[in-house]
Amino acid sequence: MRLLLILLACYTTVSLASQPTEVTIKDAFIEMHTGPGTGYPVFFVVSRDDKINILKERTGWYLVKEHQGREGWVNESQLSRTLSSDGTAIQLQGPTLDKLSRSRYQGSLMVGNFDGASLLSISGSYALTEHLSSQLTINHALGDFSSVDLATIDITHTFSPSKRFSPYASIGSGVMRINPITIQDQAQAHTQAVSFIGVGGRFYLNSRLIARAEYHYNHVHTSSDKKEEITEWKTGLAFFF
Amino acid sequence: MENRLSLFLLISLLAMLNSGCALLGNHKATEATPVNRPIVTGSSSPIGADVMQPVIEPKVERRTIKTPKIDSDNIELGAYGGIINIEDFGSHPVIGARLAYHISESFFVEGSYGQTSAGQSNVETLFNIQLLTESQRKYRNYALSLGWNALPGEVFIGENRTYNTALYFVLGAGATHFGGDKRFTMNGGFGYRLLLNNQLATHLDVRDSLYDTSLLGERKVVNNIETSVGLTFFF
Repeated sequence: MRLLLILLACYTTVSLASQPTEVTIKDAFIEMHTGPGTGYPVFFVVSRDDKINILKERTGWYLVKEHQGREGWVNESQLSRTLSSDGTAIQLQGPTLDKLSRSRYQGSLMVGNFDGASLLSISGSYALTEHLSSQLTINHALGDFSSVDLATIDITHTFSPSKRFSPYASIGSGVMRINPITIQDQAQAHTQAVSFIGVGGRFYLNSRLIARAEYHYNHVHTSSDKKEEITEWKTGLAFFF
Repeated sequence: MENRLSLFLLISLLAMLNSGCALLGNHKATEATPVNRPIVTGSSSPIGADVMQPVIEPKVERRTIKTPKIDSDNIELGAYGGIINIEDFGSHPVIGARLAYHISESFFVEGSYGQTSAGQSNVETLFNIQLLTESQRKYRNYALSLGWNALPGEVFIGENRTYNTALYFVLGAGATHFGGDKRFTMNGGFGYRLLLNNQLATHLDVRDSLYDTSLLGERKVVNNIETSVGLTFFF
């Protein structure tokens, strides 16, 4: 019930927040689709110099309302030459490789191996400069005898941010919690500090999608003299906002 | 001879007058002549300073480009409920939540979480024993998946109602917490999304979670199939 109320509150807030933008068509015509995708059929065409209102955007498609009240989805490529109500050009450029190098936020989902255990990783990063970014990662590794929760923060240097492929290097530290899995006997969970260095590469696929793969060399700060090192590799997909 | 001399003098006079006028009216002549040539003049003369100015004033108008603020509806959040079959432990109602980010018209990433409480296994029922405690019967699963909108389309209900739909496939990985154990879990399945309007959508999903466990002694891969309906909204 509480979840439903939260959903309803968010829905109402979002509905009230939308402000339509009026533009004039400068392409020969634009095609209005019934849904935000190439696969949805075209049901109406608006011609040059007609005015439309842009209501919202979803994955490079714009929900527009023409002057007779019809609503439909138009691809970004057809709206690239539209003008605003005061005659100035408007920019509706979608995600590109160029935008990737200037984007601020990135998220990624990765799977891999953490010292023999299966690893799930979710991370978000914020670009400090074109080359440098700060990243927060939450890892969950599941082995036969224990599971590990590892939260890290790092600084990543991307060597060629404007290129399709770019290697990167990172250095960071975090906290690791080891939870032993024993059904009969409950062993004690314990927490340790971790530092790591990592190298990886990212490859821009298309739209907002990026493929990523990386290797980490973790150093576990134990209280004993025993040196503990954990190797970790992971691969997955990232996307930028 | 005299005529020739008169003609020569007249031409010379005209030439002198012409050059004199040119000097006097230098400012206007410069404006009319679009050649930026150096002219030697006295330092106090304003003529040289005028000549050094650009002949043609460039009127470059910077093109104004606006980036309008348009709402982006790429995030989808919602809840679901259904039935999950936990291998060896029977079928039970499951509830959960899903959060998806639509990367492009074809792909989305999704995080999902579901939980239920498992019943007794066949072994427990048959021999009237308890293998798990009540807290260990709590089944929790989370998954991070990549989805592909494979078949976008429309459904027609009656003559006047049309709804956008999409059949999608998901594949991902996650974890299952069950029986005091946490297992790495692969998940996959398909779903059918029907958009009630541009923001609200209903889902019908079938997911399979695979993981290996030795909960009942023998180590094996289990398949937990979940069928659910859900309601989500885009924001």
